[in-house]
Amino acid sequence: MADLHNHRLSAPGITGAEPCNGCAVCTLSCPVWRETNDLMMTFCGRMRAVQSGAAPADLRASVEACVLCGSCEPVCSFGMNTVERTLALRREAFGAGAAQSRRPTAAEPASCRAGTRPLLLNPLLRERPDHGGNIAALLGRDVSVAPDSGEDIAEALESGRRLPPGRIPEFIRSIDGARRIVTTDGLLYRLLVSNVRGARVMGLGEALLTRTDLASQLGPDDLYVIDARTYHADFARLVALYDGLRRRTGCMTNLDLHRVATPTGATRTGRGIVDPVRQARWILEGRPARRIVVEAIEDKAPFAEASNVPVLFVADAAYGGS
Amino acid sequence: MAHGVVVARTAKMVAEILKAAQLHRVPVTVRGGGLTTEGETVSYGGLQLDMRGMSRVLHIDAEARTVRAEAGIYWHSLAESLRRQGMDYLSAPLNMTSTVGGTLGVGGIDINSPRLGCSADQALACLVVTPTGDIVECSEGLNRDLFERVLLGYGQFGVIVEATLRIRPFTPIRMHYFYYSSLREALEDLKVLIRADAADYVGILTMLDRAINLLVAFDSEEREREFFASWRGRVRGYGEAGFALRTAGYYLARPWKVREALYLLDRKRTLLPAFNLPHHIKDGQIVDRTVVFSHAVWRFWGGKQMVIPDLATSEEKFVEAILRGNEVCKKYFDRYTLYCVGIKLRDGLPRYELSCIPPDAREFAYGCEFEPMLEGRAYSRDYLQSFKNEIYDIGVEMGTSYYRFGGMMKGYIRRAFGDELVDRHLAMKMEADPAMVLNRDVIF
Repeated sequence: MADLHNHRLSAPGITGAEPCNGCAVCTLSCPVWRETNDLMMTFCGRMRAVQSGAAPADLRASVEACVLCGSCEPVCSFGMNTVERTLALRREAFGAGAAQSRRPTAAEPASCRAGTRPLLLNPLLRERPDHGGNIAALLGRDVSVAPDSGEDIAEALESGRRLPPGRIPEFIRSIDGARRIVTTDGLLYRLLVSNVRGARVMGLGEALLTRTDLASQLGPDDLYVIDARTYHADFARLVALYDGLRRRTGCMTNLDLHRVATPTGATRTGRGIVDPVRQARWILEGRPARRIVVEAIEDKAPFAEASNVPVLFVADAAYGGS
Repeated sequence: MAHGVVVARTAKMVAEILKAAQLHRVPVTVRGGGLTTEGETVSYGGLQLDMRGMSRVLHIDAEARTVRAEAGIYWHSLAESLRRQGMDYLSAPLNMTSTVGGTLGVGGIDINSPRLGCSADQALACLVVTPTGDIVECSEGLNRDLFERVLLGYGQFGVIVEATLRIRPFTPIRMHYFYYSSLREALEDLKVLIRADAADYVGILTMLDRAINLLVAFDSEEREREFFASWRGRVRGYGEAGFALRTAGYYLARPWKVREALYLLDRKRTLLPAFNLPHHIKDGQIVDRTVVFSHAVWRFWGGKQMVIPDLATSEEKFVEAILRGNEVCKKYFDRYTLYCVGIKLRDGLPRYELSCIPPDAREFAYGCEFEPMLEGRAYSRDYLQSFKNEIYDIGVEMGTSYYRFGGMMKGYIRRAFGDELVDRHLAMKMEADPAMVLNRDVIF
């Protein structure tokens, strides 16, 4: 069982930098590498630096630049848990501060309606009740927006700051017993997959593709942009899903030759080195889409700026067909 | 260790660095992917110049079938760009993180090199920064001397900053495997198939020296049909089922070899799925085979301690050289892999002189890598060096060349090629690089 109090995302036994032999295959899909061509800013660079004695504080710029898309993880020749390792370095480099906890207020229920499947929405979607309501409605009557979205936990994971003790167990308890959980946040996805036993965790894209007729609306003129963080958190399982989507519908996707989802980096909180619009342009290069459908709401803006075709959030695309 | 590292960004920057290096006699070691295995990109002081800062694709001409790219680009990154236009490079090392410039300087082989030649032979033009800091465009029609020196030149005569390469339409491939228990037969059949241009891709990979895999692959159904109509009967290897039966019979009769049998079973169990990933298979064809193979290579043969001596021979010497190398491997290690490919040549090119292409090779050269499976055991440096030296000694005795052509094994170059040739190239080097700053200690 993972150590919830230290925000471990996966089972104990995660090693440090030792397995890395510097093959640099992780750089091939890395948006920070694409932006900088500076090995030190990549996972490989960080691991080699740690092997050579660098302290986490020495790697702050590199760790901070990482957009945590996880595209390095499926391609790592040595099976390293690259996201967890980077998050750990981030905690060690930046973890002095405390994160703000955002628990449900007294007016809000502590947990989901009994028997419903919790839908964990990120702040952007919570601010747009029409999105949130539509998503829950699209996914079925047995889905309800969870009062405790875990967004503070996602932010803490990303920033490396510490949460109040007990916050994560409290969050897990709020969705305890759920058999299916849908989340829009890739880092939360990782946490949930590792910590919630007996529940099927899905990203929003997968949930909509499997529970609505969204897939039937996609065709060869569509570019379907997979949310990188969620996809890479469960790559072994999801690669078949999206490969099947591509074969059935003929749609283009943001999968590269490794079948890794090229990210824009827009899901990263705060400003970073990676320019999401430039990444979006790279994703679009050679892909003559007439419509773009994005799984992550944050990707909508960069694709809208990088192209002159309609850009739809996946829930809006599914809603349009329902 | 280098005293400093610079990430190259422009040709002008590289030129300024080399001019300053000449003036102040500071060694400059150029690094691309850093995948050469004899320490060629390890700096002993001076400046390390990381070319990966120059990695843009400048222009793809699908009609003319050429691409112009900055030379620090990874082959894989080049492939990503080319694929957006339905194109692919011709031939490049299976290592996705080798760079174009580095490969052009070394050679670059793949299992389609018997048909398409080495990577260096796909270059149509290069922009080179000379050791004295001149920026020169070169090709077979322009500044040809420099062109012939930088290709397969191990970075002695200039830094390749841009290259124009041939490209082709992308094709998935249809792959077939034939299994042998005789290394000699497999090597002989490899030569026959290469000489006859019977397959688009062909190579040998061994699991044990009595479990040899001859792989053949095709870009089209037509070529595949031709092979099975004309050549399958002449290939002495077995299909998987036939080989499995024979192998089972062999080991049943030799129960004391149970560990070896279990090793083979385990390799089959782990390797086969890695080469047949469902999301890389479409209609029975492997899509993006470089990704598939490269991942498998790193996963099953990669490690922190990798020792891969090799031999590059003429067609005539190939079988004997590899059999001798195989005996050396058996002497030192329980488990090892051989990887053999052919390389189509354009005879008479000056670039082949003092390179990984053996001087007596005509029409085709052949290469073999000998890679022990270290399997987590600790071997002393002396033990591994002795192993490498015995392989390289075969090259000296038989008059071959080496694919790893420099760095820590540069002492073999003089022994293999002779003083006259080496000194002639040294004189050219001293003229081009008066302060001898560029990639010092790699060849000279």
